[in-house]
This record gives sequence, C-alpha cells and structure tokens, in this order.
Amino acid sequence: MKDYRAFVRACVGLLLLFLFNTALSACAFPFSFTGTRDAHEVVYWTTATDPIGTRAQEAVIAAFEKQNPDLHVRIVGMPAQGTGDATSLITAVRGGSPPDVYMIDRFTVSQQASIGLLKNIAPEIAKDDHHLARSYLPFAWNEVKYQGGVYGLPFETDARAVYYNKDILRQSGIDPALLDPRKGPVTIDTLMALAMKLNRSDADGNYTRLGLIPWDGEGEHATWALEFGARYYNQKTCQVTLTEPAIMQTYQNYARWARELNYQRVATFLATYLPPNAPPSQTPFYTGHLAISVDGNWNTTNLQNYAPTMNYGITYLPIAHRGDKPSTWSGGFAMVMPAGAPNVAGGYRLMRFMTGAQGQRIYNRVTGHLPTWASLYQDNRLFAGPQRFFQGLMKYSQSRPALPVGAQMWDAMTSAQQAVLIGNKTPAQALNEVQTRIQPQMQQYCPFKLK
Amino acid sequence: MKIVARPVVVTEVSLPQRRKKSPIKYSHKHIWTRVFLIATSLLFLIPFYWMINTALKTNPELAITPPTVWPQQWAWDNFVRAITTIPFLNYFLNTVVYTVLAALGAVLSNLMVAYGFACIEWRGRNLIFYLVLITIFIPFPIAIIPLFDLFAWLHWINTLLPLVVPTFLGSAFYIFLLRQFLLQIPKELLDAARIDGASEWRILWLVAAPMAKPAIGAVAILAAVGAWNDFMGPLIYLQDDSLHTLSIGLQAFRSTHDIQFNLLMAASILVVIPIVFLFFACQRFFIEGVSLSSIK
Amino acid sequence: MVAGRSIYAGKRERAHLLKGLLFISPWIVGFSFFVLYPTIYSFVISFFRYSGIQPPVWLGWQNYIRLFTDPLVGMSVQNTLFYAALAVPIGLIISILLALAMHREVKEVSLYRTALYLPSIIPVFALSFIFIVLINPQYGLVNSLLGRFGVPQMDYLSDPTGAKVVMVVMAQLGAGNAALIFLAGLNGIPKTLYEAARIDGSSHLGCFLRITLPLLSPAILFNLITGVSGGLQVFQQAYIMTAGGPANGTLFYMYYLYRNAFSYAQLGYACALAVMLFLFGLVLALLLYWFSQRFVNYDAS
Repeated sequence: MKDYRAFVRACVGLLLLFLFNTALSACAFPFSFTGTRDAHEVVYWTTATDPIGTRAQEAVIAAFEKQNPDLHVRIVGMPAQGTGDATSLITAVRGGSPPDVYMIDRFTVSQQASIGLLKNIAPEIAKDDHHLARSYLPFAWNEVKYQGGVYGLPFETDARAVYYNKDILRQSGIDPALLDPRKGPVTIDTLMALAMKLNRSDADGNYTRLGLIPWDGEGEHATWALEFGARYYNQKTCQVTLTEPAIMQTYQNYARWARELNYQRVATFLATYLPPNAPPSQTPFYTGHLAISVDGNWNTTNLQNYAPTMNYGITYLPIAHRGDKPSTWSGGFAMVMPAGAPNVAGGYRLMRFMTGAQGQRIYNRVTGHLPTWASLYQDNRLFAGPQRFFQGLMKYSQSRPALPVGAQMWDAMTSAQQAVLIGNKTPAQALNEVQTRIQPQMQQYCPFKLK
Repeated sequence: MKIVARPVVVTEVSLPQRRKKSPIKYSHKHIWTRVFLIATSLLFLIPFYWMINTALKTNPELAITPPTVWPQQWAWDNFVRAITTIPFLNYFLNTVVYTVLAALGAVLSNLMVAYGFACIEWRGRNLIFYLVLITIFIPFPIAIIPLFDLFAWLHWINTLLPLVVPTFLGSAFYIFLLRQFLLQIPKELLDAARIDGASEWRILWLVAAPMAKPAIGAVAILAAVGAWNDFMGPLIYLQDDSLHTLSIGLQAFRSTHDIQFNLLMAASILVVIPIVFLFFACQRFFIEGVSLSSIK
Repeated sequence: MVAGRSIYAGKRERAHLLKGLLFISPWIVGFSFFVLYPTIYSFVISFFRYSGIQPPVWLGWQNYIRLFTDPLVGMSVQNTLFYAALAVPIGLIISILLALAMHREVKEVSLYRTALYLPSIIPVFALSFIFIVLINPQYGLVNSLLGRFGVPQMDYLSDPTGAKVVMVVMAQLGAGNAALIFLAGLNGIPKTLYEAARIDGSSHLGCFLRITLPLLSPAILFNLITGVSGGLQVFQQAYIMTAGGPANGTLFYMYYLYRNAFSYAQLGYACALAVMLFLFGLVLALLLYWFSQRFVNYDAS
C-alpha cells in the first residue's frame, strides 16, 4: 500500500505545519495566543474614539500612570454601532480574552450584567471605600446596580437642551430674547411655530434652511417621552408600558411633524448639509443651515472647536403646557469590568481613578461632558461659559429606567420612530409592535424591581 | 444529473485546449462590442475613480459641496498619513500571512479531495459528492456560533488559526471546480501511470496536478482574493488590534461620529493594488481553469 | 461507471474505497467540524436560553414559538426575499451580458476584464462609503444623472425600499465574478456548433437561444446556486451602510441573527433562526436540483 504510506506522509506534513505554527506562536507571531499577559498591564477598551474623546481619555490615563508607576495602560479603540452595542465585548468574553476595563453605555449595564457579561465589583468596593456610592449622583449609581450587585462605576453624564443661532433669528425678524432661558422654557407649539418661519427652500423645492428638525440630533424618542412623563415599566405587573400615553403622545407628535415638514424633503436636506464624507465641523447647525437644534451639553465643546464665531444661545427644552417645569434627561457612560478580566486589582484601580474626582475633572474639562461625581458640581471651573447653564439644569434631569432589556428596547423604539416618521406605520401600530416584541423578553426577568 | 467521467478519446496530452486566436477582424460588430465594453468598463470604474479622487484631496477640499471632480491640490501625503494613522505594515503582514496560507490550504486540500472524487473510482463516491454539493447551500450563520465556541474552547480566539485551519480542510466550491477539471484528464493516462507502478499520491502530483494548473491557479486566486477581503472572519475572531487584517483595519478610519474619508480611500487603494496586479497577471487562469461543461 | 467497475472488481474494491476515503479525508474532517458539528450544536442550543456565558436553561419550543410571533423575523424575511428576488436575476442577466461582451475577440479584452472585475475586489467597507456619496441627493452622481430625466432628488437611504434597491444596485458591481464563470462556460462551447447553425440559416438571436443558452445552463445553475445562497445571507452592506435602518428596512435575516447572537447574546434564539434558515436552504437546494434535472443541459453533443 504505497498510497497509504504516502498518505501518512502527507498527514505528518500537515501536522508539522501546525506544529510549526505553534512554534511560531512562541515568537509572538500572528498565531500567538494572548492568554498570558503582563501583570502590570491594564487593557482598556473604549467606545469613545472621536478626536476629542480620545484626547480626553489619554489625558486621564497619563495622570493615572503618573500616580501609579507600577501600572501601564493599553488603550484599544472599539467603535460601537449605535446605542448599547457591546458586540465586541460579548465576543471577547466568550472567546476568553476580555479587556480589564471597558467603557459602556451606562444605561445597558443591567442588561449586560443580566447575561453574566460583567463582573460584580462590590467586593472590590467593600475593600476600598464603603461609602463610595454616596460620592456619585444617585441616578447614575442606580444604573450600575443590578439585583444587589454593583457592576460598574459611573463615568460622565450629559443633559439635553435647545441651541439657537441668534443671528439667523434676527435676520428673520425674530427677537432672540424670546428664547432667553431667564424667561423659562417656551411651549413646544410656540417653538415649532417660530421655527417654521425660518424654513427656506430653493426653486426646486429643496430646503436650503430649516428652523428646527424636532426628531433630529437629541430630539429622539426618549427626550420627548421622558418629558411627557413616560415610565416605560410597571414593576407591580412586571410589564413594559411602551404604549402608555406619554410615549404615544411623542410618536403622534412625530407623525404630525413629519407631515408638516415633509420627511423626505428633510432627509434630503440632511443628506445634503450633513454629508457622510464631511468633517465633524460640517453640520447644518454649524454652517448656518439649521437655526435651532436639540442637542447635548457636549455640543458646547464642538461649537467652540468647529464654529467658534457663532453667536448662539442655549435654553430649556420646550414644554408641553405653559407653566410646566423645565425638563431634560441624562445618560452617559460607565466603567465596567468584564467577567474573566485578567487583571482585577489593576483594572479596579484604573476604573476608580477614571470615575473619581480627579479623572472626571480632567475628562469633562476636555470633552464638555458633565460629571457624575457629585462634589464636582461645586467646582465652578468645570462650568465655565456656556456650560454654566447645565450646572443648573441638572436638578431637572431624569434618567431612563435601567431595564435588562434596555438595548433591545432602545433599538426597537428607534426603528418605530423611523417607521412613524417615514409614514409606514401609525404611532399605535408601531408602538404595539414594540410592546409585543419586548414584553416576552422582559418576562424572563420577572419579578424585577427597579431600585 | 449523472456524474461520470466524460469518455475522452483524446490520447494527446494537450488539455485544456486553448483556442487559437483568430486574426482580429475590424467589422462593425466589433465597434459596437468595443463601445459596449468601454461604456460598461467606465461605469464599473466610477467607484475606483472616486476612490482616487477622494484619496488625493486635502481636508478643506473634502468639505466643499458640491465635491470637486478632481483634486485642486494633490495631497500625496494622505498616503503617508493613511499608513501611519493605522499600523498599516502590521496589518499588511497579517493579511499577507492569512492570504498566502489560505491559498496554499485551498489548493492542497481541495486538489487532494477533488482527485479522490474524480480520479479514483470507489463505491459511493457520487453519493458523497452530492453531500459536498449540498453543503454549498448550508447557510454560514448556522456555523458561526458553534464554531466560535469550538475555537474559544481550543483557545484559538485572537489568533489566525480559526481563519487559516478551515482552509486546509476542503471547501465545497473549490472541490467542485477542481473535480470538473480533473474529470477531463483521460482515464487511459491515469491507468498507464498505475500500470507503471506509480502510487495514487504520485499520480496526483506528477500527472494530475500539472495538467490541472489553470484550475489550480483559479482556485489559488479565488481563495487569495477571498482571504484578502474577508470581513466577517476577522471581525469575529480577531479582537486584538495587533492581529487585525487590512479589511477590518480600515474601520479605524471611522470613529463614532465621523469618517476620515481621504485617508480611508488612500488606504483602500493600497489594499486593492496588489489584487489588481494579481488579477491582471493571472486572469487567464480564471477563464481556462473554470470548467463546468463536463458534468453529464 | 458500469464499465469501470468490471475492471476493478471484487476485493480490490475495498482497497479503492479506502484510497478514495483517504483522499477525501480533509473534506471529511472539515465536514464533521464545520458542517455536522455546528448543525447538531445549533439544533440543540435552539431549545435553550443561552447567553454563551451562563449555563443554558431549557426552554422547549419557546424559541420557535417566539420566532413565529416576532414581527422582526417577518420583516427581515421580507427584506431578504425582496433583496434576493431582485439581486439574483438582475445579477445573472448582467453577468451574462458582460461575459458575452468579454467573449468577443477584441485585442485589448484583458483590460476590459480587469476593469469589470475591479469593483468586486474593492473592500466592501470602502465600496459602501463610495456608494453613499454617489447616491447623495444633492451632489451625488446618481441623483444628478436621474435629475436630467426629471426624476426628483431623493435620499434613497432614508427610505426602506430605496435603501434595499441601493444595495441591489451595489451588488451588481460584483457581477465581474459571475461573468468570469460564464466566460469560461462560453469558451467551452465548440465553435463548430455555431458554424453549423449559421449554415442552417439561424439568426444571431436564434443561435443564442438554441445554442448558447442551453450550453451555458451548467454555468447558470452554478451562478444561481451561489447567487441565491449569497442573496439569502446578505449582511455586510446593511451592517456598514445603514445599520439595518431606516425603520428596519434593511434588517436582513442574517443581520437580525447576528444581532441576536452577538449584540443581545441570545444564542438560543439566534440558533433557532439559523436552524430555520438551514431548513429553508435545504428545501431550496432540493428545488434547484429538481429544476436542474429538467432544464440543465450537460451534454455538448
């Protein structure tokens, strides 16, 4: 059986090839298995990979390494796809090669904790500081808790407001003082009526300027729904309540606004003035094609960088009825430790530093985000210029309920928003669909208490 | 669909026969053919034109609307910036290693398997060949999760192994192509070698492989291009950025909010060029190596 | 084959069987690990709730019940079928046309081949962004060309149907690959057949319908199989260009599966989705087999 011998030779050849690969792994070639790691190295994955965010994190980490000369940090950028996307982290934990620290959308902490993706760091906190919880804003701390455990430390937060270009308002004969925050918030109807007067079109009927696109930017569903009093969840019945009046009202407004402004024309406008290949300085608001925009507090930093000469003002989000309290909501990020992180002690020290007073001061000063470290609100240097407004706004802020189905719910609500805007579905159809999709998933966690 | 070797009576070893080029006739027919070919070629080259156009623009020029049809100022340093912004050389080497091994694996394993299906007659081979054909249809997603767990269990995540090892274990598509080609080899020729006392293994490498060169070339190129541009595999299995290949390394030019378009395109051009040359040089293999007409 | 067996009769058959199996052994190993094991695994896991991190919990048929009531499954099936039903036939027609043109004996044909093949090797990541700009409503090439014919400017990616159509069109840039297979098929057709037909007085179209098309049928079947299988698994373009939007308009089946598995860590449910796709693929394979029995001509004589 010559063939047989030849075949055995071939097998041995293949085997040798694999052995060769394994041998190469010793020389840290692409085949190397990264299971063994330097005990002094902390691997940190971040989802904030924009230039400003990168600069801020590098500054915080430089300060950390200065104070902890025994540790060095490796930053790895992991751009996320939309809200709550932790695909890369899930893959890494399942593949047995997670980082030590991960920056995550804080709103999804309970969801990721529920599937066992994150490490409960309560033991580390107990060794470190029993009263750590009190140092953070209460809503932010609530978001990192899940079923008695603590699955992360709150990092930055944010708040939403209305930005308006005073020059455009003046040119159109509208006194910008109407929107002055010292007069308190205006109603939604007032703001929309005012904005509609600012729209301009060219001969073909394409918009060249818009007053306000109430669903664009931070005008997404949660902004309006929370303002109208949405609860999202009833813990007595363990039901998500996605067809409740506050949410229904939001989507009905979308349907009306999309009709009034013509959704397709607005989409064309956005594709034109917010082209996908443009640098970050090129948004319709910065280039004067959009007069009013619902945006986050971090926008002040962008304005400073990309439109330093713009004469703009910031005011409260519009309210439903005259006399209502101002409203806004806050999200933000947390530092978490993935399950199976190799360097627990070093990772915890990094998390603690980044989310502590020092880390948050450096980070938020560069990015213009807001701290979750409560005592930093006394530090006026962090709230210079336009940021001052947000220092006072935080007392009106709400947050989204931290449900273990948060990410799916958010994706589903966003799709429903698009469907209603396009006109594919009525608000009731779209929301019923979301409700029937999310409730069975929530059911798996019942009974579930929010606090 | 009976699958049997075509009864070839040709004794001369001149397979596959390349058709002689007939002298070029300049008829109207050819003019219209040219017009059609040039028009479609131009249409298909638009993306490439746009890549070059964008790759050579400066940042301020990129912001101009409507975009300029040709760079006003040729920013050649975009190429330098592109390969320094990401560890281009590192990614390039990873990609080359993956590509070469994938092409090697595809040729070695599939040629062997195809020989087993085409040149050795054994009971049940047609039945099993149907099984091979059916696997072309099995959706890849069914394998993603189990394979991920298998590779995780083997501690192969964050290595090139999950990408490379499967290429050494046969692929239905290439087996099919190579088998069709090997079936054209006259059986008399193989039998003659057998009578001379050559082992099947020797016949494979000394008789069959040289005759199947075009098909081997086609498989090598298809496998190489596939590995070079593989997106899903590296996306799932390679998380450590020092292991990334170029296809996913390009993602680094997109951050959460914006894309560095000129650098992305400059890097993409560098990614495409080696493949363009490979294809231009080896396209003959594609056309001669892919033979589908001999199944009966 | 009958003739073959008479040569290798009796006990030598065992030896041949062994030899054959030895030669196809790489495939046997590959098949066990990459087809058999995953299929069984997926079937089993589809009856559990499993995050991949915590131990699995038995659910019975719940994942399958959920699958049939999940509106997004219906949506993603619709999207995928819409895409495949457009992209596959259009792709076949375009690649046959390209192959016929490339088959002509023009001196510089290798240049055209390269040009036509080029888009199929541009990385999908880059190609997707090129496309986004080409279809920009205000200054993209596509809209300004259509504008000449009075078609109003439109942001195709903001419309669920428009976005799918954009992806169908983008897929056509990859027609070079299939065209090469057709080209190889055309090269295999003996010239004498055409000459004979010409003597019989057949027209160009007659030649094409009576000779080219039937003799090209193996290549058509082959491209049909790869096309359908690729069309059902469409994913990358949507992942890069639209993230499944707008309003889930480009949430393809495979994308939804990927999301469940890797974004929501619901592996049991994702496996149930994979099993359904597997069964559908199997049915389709049988249908195509039946189809090929009836219409595909493997005989050149």
